[in-house]
Amino acid sequence: MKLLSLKRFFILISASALLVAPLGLTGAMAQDKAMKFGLSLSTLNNPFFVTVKDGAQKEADILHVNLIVTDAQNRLDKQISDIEDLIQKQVDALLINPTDSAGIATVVKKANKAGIPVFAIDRAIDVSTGARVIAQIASDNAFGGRLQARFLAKVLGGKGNVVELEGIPGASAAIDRKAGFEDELAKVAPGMKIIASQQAGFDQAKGLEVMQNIIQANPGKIYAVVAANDSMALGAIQAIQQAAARRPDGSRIIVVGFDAIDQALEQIRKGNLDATIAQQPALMGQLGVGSGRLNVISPLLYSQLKNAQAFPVPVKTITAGDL
Amino acid sequence: MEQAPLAELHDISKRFGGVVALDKVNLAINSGEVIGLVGDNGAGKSTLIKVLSGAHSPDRGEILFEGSPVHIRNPRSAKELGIETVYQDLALVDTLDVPGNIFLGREIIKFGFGPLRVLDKSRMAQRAKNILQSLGISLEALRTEVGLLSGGQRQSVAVSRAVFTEPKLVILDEPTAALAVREVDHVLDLVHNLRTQHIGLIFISHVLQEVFAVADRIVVLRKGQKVADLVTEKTSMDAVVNFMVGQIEDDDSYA
Amino acid sequence: MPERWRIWALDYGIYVVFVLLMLVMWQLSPYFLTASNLLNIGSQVSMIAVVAIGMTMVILMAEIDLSVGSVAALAGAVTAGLIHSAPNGWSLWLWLTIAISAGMAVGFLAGLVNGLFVVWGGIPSFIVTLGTLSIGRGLVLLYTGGRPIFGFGEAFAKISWGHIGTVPLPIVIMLSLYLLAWLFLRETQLGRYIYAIGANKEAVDLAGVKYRPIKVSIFALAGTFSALAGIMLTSRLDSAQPTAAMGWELDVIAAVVLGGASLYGGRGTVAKTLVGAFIIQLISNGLNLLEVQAYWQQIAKGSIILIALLIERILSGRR
Repeated sequence: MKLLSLKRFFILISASALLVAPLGLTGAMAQDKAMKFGLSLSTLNNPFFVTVKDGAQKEADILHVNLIVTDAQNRLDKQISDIEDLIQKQVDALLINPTDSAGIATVVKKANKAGIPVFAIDRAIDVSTGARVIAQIASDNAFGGRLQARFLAKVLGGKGNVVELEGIPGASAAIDRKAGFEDELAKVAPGMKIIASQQAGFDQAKGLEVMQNIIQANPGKIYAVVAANDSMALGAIQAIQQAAARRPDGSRIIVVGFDAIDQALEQIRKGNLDATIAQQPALMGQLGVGSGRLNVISPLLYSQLKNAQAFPVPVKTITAGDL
Repeated sequence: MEQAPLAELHDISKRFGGVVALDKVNLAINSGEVIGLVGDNGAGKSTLIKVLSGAHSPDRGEILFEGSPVHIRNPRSAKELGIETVYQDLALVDTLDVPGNIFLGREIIKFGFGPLRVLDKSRMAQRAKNILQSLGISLEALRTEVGLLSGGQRQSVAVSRAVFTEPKLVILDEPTAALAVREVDHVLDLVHNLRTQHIGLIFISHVLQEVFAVADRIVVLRKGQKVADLVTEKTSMDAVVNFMVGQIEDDDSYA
Repeated sequence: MPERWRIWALDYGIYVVFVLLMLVMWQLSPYFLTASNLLNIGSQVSMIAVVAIGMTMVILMAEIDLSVGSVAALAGAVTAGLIHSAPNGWSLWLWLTIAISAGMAVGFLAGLVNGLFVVWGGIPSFIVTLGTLSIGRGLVLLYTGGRPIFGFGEAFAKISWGHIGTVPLPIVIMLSLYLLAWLFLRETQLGRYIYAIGANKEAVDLAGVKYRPIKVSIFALAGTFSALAGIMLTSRLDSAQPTAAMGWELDVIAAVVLGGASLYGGRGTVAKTLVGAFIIQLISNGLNLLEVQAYWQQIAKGSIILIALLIERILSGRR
């Protein structure tokens, strides 16, 4: 259902682009230069964002947009410098994947002042700070968390103890997934209890270490593990295998991840991982560039589109049956 | 004496950038002779001994050792010739123990080769004890870190390190500078001791009483030049001081 | 405080702290003193501990190596990439040996670069290794394209998941290397020179020892240890990640310093470094067992290091 509106949105954009393109072309010719967009990513050290970049680049190539990509190496101060540089280069639109949703506000306001439209990618930019954003294009992380809860409730029949591995504190993805998961779990499986909840920094090594320790502290009590991303889930799987940990009735411990990275899909095929939540990072990148271009060509038309301001990119559960 | 000198320095010159440290210095020393090297600060005493110890190379001039010309390229070459130096700061490794310092660079190896040579610690400890005894030094805890020893004890370790290989020429740079009064006598005894072993000795000092107490000859440097080469018995402290500060020109009538 | 007690506290205090910590953990959590938990801790600390051997030697020489994490990640990535490029028909063991040797060679070369810039270039090791930290991490990103390389098969996984008897292989590797390093530093000429160079390299020079090649070699050796740990990590996670080993330099230096080594050089032993590494890992493990959140672990780690340094300073009377 959400997918349907996504398709419609996309058709709408493409159609509008085609109709408006001639207008845009004259406008562009009048300016006498190709469009230049800045894509400021929080990090390129993560395959998820590399995919966002690839999706954006592909779309940029099709639309003849010059895409400048920067990597903030997960540091807010570097990202602020990156964006300032992009503003200096007078880009026509800024696609920002913030390292910190609120901390990025000051430089976003600078872009606002310079008249450069700003789009948020994958993580929200906090508009309560006064920063103005044309659209927030992000996965519905909270919904993904709910999907995780629903999966567990279904597979375990609404009963059992769950271990939760949380992501980096302060990252909106971590916060949203946790909130969605816990809220939905309480609703659909009140009989299930979260017996341990630890931060493992979205990192496999940390996830492995933390899970090893949790297994030690809760011998024979664990039914399932839900992780805020696949890397931590992979670490949890290793810990479970090493300790040969099982549910009280002797059956396998259920593990659910998030992100659908290649390694995770392989583990699903092998039967070690039960489910993961697929985002659509390439689509996110695509949408960012597409929306940016349409907005530059005709801001009025763009603002009339449904879902233009906050676009939750759909996510879905992937299990063995889907592969 | 008819014997050839142990070491001879001919016209040794050295500059550091624009500064002339040594200017055509000539010096001869014989075995069993003690030379006191004196001069004001900056006169060139340290540089001169560093030329002999291999820490510096002279820009010009020649060094003869036991009659043959030599090039002392580095500290190791100097040691191989039989020239040992005890620097003013003693150049000890404070965190190593007494045998560790005495044998630094010349450790006794039990077995092994290349990077994996196993130390023969017991033999080194035993020999260290013997060396100290032969020098008349009593040092109890050999295994303590040298940094924890007193000034005089550290001095003993440094001197032991210099003499245990039975060198031919020993250079002492301000050996009494950091010592308590009672420890000074001990050093002077040590110098006598070495002299009887027919070792040539050069020692730098600011304390003229000490120089007069042990030296056979006194060499005075001033601004990089040798301004006097005096036989101790035939000169006086006043004369030496005058040479140091430049009141009298080169006067061989004192030689 | 009586002199003898003071010296004893400096030399053996950390062992006491270690035992006390174990007792406290045991009291706080019934799950702590089990064989499986203790072996877990050993495996978890093994990689940092291996790196800490090389770091101890570098710090003994009054230098530092900040590049250890990047070098570990790079070596792990190169080994991973090579395993995946195995030509058809070659023996698995042969190719694994080649891949692992190549990874170790990467570490050796990185360390060599560090050493040459420090010794012959005359640049402080802090600066040089800060540079190689950056360059190394960049190379990892370049080599991996920002994505993890994963899936290496059972044989390679044996490095981190295999056992000798009931003891996990990483623990065996760690303890063997520590034993060898301890013997090396204590009983060999080169080991003694490492201490001497850190305490007074001019004296070593004047004693006729060629200290420059020694320094360069120890940097290269440290790089090799980092590489080995990186390969162990890759085996443990069955993947080489661009973010692997990030921040290792802090944990390793903390272990060495906690173990009583002086950052000014000339003082320290690998035995106490090992204890230092374990103490840090124990704190993490204990806090996990007690369900304490990650923030507190950071705070706890940092505070313990500061307090330990303060105590050491007071005991040694250094101003």
